[in-house]
Amino acid sequence: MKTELRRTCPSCGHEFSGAMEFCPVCMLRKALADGVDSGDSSSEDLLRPTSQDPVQRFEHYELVTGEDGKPIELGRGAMGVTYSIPSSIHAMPSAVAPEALRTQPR
Amino acid sequence: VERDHGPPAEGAASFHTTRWTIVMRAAQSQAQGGQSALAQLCRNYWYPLYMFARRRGYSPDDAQDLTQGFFLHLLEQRALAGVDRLKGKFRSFLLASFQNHLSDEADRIRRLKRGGDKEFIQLDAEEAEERYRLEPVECLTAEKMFDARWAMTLLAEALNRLRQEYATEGKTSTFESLKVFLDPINSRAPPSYEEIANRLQISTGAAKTLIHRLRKRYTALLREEVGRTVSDPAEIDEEIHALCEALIASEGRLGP
Repeated sequence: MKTELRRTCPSCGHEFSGAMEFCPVCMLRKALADGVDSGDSSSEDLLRPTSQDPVQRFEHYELVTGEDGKPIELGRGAMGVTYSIPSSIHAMPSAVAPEALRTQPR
Repeated sequence: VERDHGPPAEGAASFHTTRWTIVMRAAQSQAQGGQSALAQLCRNYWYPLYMFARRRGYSPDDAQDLTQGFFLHLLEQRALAGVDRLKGKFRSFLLASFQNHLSDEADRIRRLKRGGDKEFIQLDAEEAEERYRLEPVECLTAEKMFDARWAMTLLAEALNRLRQEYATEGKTSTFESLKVFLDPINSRAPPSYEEIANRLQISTGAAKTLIHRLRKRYTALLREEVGRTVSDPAEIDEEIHALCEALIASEGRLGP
């Protein structure tokens, strides 16, 4: 498999084949016991981001994801996109702007 | 026309006993069911072994014969007779046994071939070689390739089972419309909920519910599939972590 056919998962940061529709690492991790949804929920439940929502990662940051599996966006600006992170990490609701971090000089 | 877009009925079978446990118990007690359980496991996971043999330098014909001969060896339960404890993962057992088999049988491979119209499973030699040509043989060891390919095979098997469940219920187009939401963050152009709702002629809320159930069923099937290859359901998470590590170690070099 040629290197240029690989891409990086924005959620877990690992590389996978560009020929794949899914990130295999993320798919497997969703099957862990604490990643499996255990009950039916209505669509209203799905729309409401809560502490029960699945969490995805951007580098070492955890991002709260909505029902569609995408990180919940809090806003967009010149520095990039701001996403919600779990309130369990900090006492106050918090946010991280991965796109800004990505472009910061090292 | 698919009038009922709801998810297919989930299998009623619970998973108190893993398929691998059935195989091992049968090997010890001559109980029924062991061979069919083993046959199903081997049908699903033969390609990683074939790939391992090829990576070890065997020709396509020899790799095919060795894989086939190994399954015959297992079927006759000569290998399973040595399994004296209900512990261990099927993946680890299979690779260790196959490595032993390679060293024992390599010099007898031609005789097996001459003897042999006995086939345990149908190996599609052309398809196997086609797949093997795409493998990153120059970058990874045979062992790393085996574990990563095993993980990919397992993911594909769970997806096949999900697709089959929807097909059985006449909901193939629902499945094809929704499967992109299994991992939307990596989808190149995921449709909106509204687009999906329009396509399926249902409300947006109903589309979200279907997506939720599709994901839930896929993770359940994936967990069940992993559970078939360990000796205790309590080992499922450990095996998932090990498979993730194998995928990460492969540096994304394996294709689907």
